[in-house]
Amino acid sequence: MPEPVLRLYLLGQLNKEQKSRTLIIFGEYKSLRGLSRVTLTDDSLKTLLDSIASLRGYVEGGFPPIDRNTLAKLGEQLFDVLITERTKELFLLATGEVRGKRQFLPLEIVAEDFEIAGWPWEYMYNSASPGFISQDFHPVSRSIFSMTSRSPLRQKRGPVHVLIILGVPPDDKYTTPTEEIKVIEAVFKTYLGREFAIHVLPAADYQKLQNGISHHEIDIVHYFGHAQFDYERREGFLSIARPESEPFRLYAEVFSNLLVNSHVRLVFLNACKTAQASPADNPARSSIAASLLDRGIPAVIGTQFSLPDVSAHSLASTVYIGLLTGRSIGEAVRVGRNAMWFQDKYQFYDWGIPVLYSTNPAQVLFTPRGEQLGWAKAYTSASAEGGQSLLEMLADVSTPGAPSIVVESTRPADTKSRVTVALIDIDAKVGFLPDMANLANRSQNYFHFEVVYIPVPSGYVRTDLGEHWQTFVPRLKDVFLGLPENLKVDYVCGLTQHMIAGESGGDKFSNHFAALVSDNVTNVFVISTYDLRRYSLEAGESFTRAVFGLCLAMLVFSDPRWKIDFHEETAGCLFDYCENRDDIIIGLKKKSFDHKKCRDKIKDPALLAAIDAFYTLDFSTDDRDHIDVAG
Amino acid sequence: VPFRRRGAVGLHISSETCCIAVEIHEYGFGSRDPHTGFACGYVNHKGRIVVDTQTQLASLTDHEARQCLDRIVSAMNATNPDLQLTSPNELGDILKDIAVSHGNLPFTPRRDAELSDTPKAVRLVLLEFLEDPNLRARLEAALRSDRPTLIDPITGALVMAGIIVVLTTRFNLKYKRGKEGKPEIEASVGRDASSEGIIKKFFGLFSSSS
Repeated sequence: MPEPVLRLYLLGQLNKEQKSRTLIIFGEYKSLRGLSRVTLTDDSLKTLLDSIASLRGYVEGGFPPIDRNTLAKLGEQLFDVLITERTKELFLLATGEVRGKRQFLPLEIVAEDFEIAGWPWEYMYNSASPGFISQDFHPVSRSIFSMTSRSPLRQKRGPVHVLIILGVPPDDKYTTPTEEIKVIEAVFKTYLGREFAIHVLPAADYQKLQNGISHHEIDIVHYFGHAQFDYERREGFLSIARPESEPFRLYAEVFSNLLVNSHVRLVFLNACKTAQASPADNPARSSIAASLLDRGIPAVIGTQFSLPDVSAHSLASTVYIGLLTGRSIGEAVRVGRNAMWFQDKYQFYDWGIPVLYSTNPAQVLFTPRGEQLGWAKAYTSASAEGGQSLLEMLADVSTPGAPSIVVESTRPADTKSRVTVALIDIDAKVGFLPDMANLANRSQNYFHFEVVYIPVPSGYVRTDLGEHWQTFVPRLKDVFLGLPENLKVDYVCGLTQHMIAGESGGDKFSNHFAALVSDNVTNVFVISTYDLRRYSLEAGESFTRAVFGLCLAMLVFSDPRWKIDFHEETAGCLFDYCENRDDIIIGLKKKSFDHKKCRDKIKDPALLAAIDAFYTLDFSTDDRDHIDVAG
Repeated sequence: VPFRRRGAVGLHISSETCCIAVEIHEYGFGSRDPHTGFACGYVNHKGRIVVDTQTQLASLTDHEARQCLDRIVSAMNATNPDLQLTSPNELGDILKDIAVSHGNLPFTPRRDAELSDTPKAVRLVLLEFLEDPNLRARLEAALRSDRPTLIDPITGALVMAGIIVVLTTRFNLKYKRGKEGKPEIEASVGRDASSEGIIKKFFGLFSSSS
């Protein structure tokens, strides 16, 4: 489930000719809607605009001087414009909900008025719960009114291709482009191993930009270099250095057109003012970042002011780490903002310089390798609850590749026509059990065996019930009896390396080869592999056949239709009780199920065919598990 | 420590005067000691180097001086968006009006790249910021915010923009937008000795022979 987003639409124009103007704020969170109106008088608007101008002046040239408190006051003004009356209720309600779940609540802001759209919303400050909301639970992002249709992002498969466009030569005296490449490469190498490719487009080759984007299936376009906003043309541009010539200006519109219909899912503009827009124009035309969003790029990271060179590297590396570890784009930018704190010559406003334009701040652009988002969240949630919830979640094998207690290779798509048996290796440590199951599955059409590994309760091994250690099956009852339902199987067969002890009809028993876990439930049992390797070796048979022989005996015994019970007589039959445990060798030596008394009780030819198939099965592949008798 | 700037080469401490001197590698002005050719700073009672603004300016490289002027103009542009400090054409028009009102001073609008000695022009403008408390505050703020940033100059006519900043602040020069959106001077620069000196100095950069 994607994170919920609180979307705030600011409707109305900032008509400066009037003495006051009313703006409408429409808030949307899940299925909830809230509408507020806010009136900006001449005085309140002037105060707000002066504060914004002062912030810009201070960031760009240190004048007029402001401090953190001044910034907080501006942030409070911005907060009060947007979060008021019903939208405030919505904000509080949504915040309460996500904080309870330890989630983030991204705020997406869309403004109709071009000037309002350019206000520094990232600095919103909540005085009721003192703090800049972008820094804690509410990564602020921006969006635009756009008619461009966007299909939902599909999960990225295969290597991630990054195109780094350098706006400055590698040996630039005043910036550090090689450092930027090094930092990005290190992050991708750490998190993707070899599953990425970085293509660098040097400033000198800027004419090849279109080819660079088209040739490879580029996922990320990363720009590092100078940029500026052209106040005359009212459009932002990337400034690409040219030897012996004025820099080439790659304007917002031209640049965004290069990326139309591309596979690019993120554009990172690590340069100054790349998200600045003209107050008189649609950001979709004037701002580089918004223009890219309008052309269908799902996420664009830009900057609203000048960006210090040193902060640029830490911002890029932290954002990419966030993205490659499966964080949403909004959260990755939030983490990137906070990482800027640790830079040399850090200024109190630095964290608010980056701006995220996105179609959805909660979207995850890159799922971590070896993990799939769909199940990852369910897994995390079940892990938190633990116990039965976790077991149920892990028993679900509907998502290929998801973590499961069921060995995937032993779970075919369709088992409807077969009797399904879950083989649970409690502690028998049969390493090739999945291979055995697959072989057994191929040899007949009656049963289907799947291998399952589950956590078992401690204390099931008893040392006080016989000469040897015993697996005391009543101890397994609580976990095992629910398994047929959880695993959606007909039978559950546990394998233990110890002999089996238990209680039946009030009597205790021990040293058994097999036993039901409970007298009342006939489809859950445990079989013992104790001494089975030695017995099978002595009988000249495979260990696998010995294991499946026991399992098969319990399966038929558990089926009430046949009314078969284990007999005292040792007849080399599947159902020999084997009071003397060594008698099992006689049964193992048998090459067919020919004990007429028992065979005649089974009326189902398919089941008989399956039993016969087991007898003829070549289990020679389990040579790996042979023991050296002499040793 | 300002002396660690590029272009400031060599560090000499005179034991007698407790004076720290920095040899100015590039074009310097004002604070250069006439005897030693060094710009001077002093060690205060806490042992820290104290450098006056003049010395700081002198120790800037050409690139840093240009960035400093860019920061001043950018801050001014942010707080006074009506000034239109970024349009070379408009800046040229305003200065042309002033040239006319001061006895038709020879003036050809020029972008920075078209000036004969841009570094000198930049420093000349910056130096003028020292003379007025309001301007000095802007200069000192710009010198403090000296982090390298990934930005192009706000305009290709930084020198003309800097001159407008000086004139509007020092002489209360005002202009408004005319009907066609063109800037029109509302209050012109007075013609006292001080202003005449500055105007001549500035417009000397734009005479056709420069």
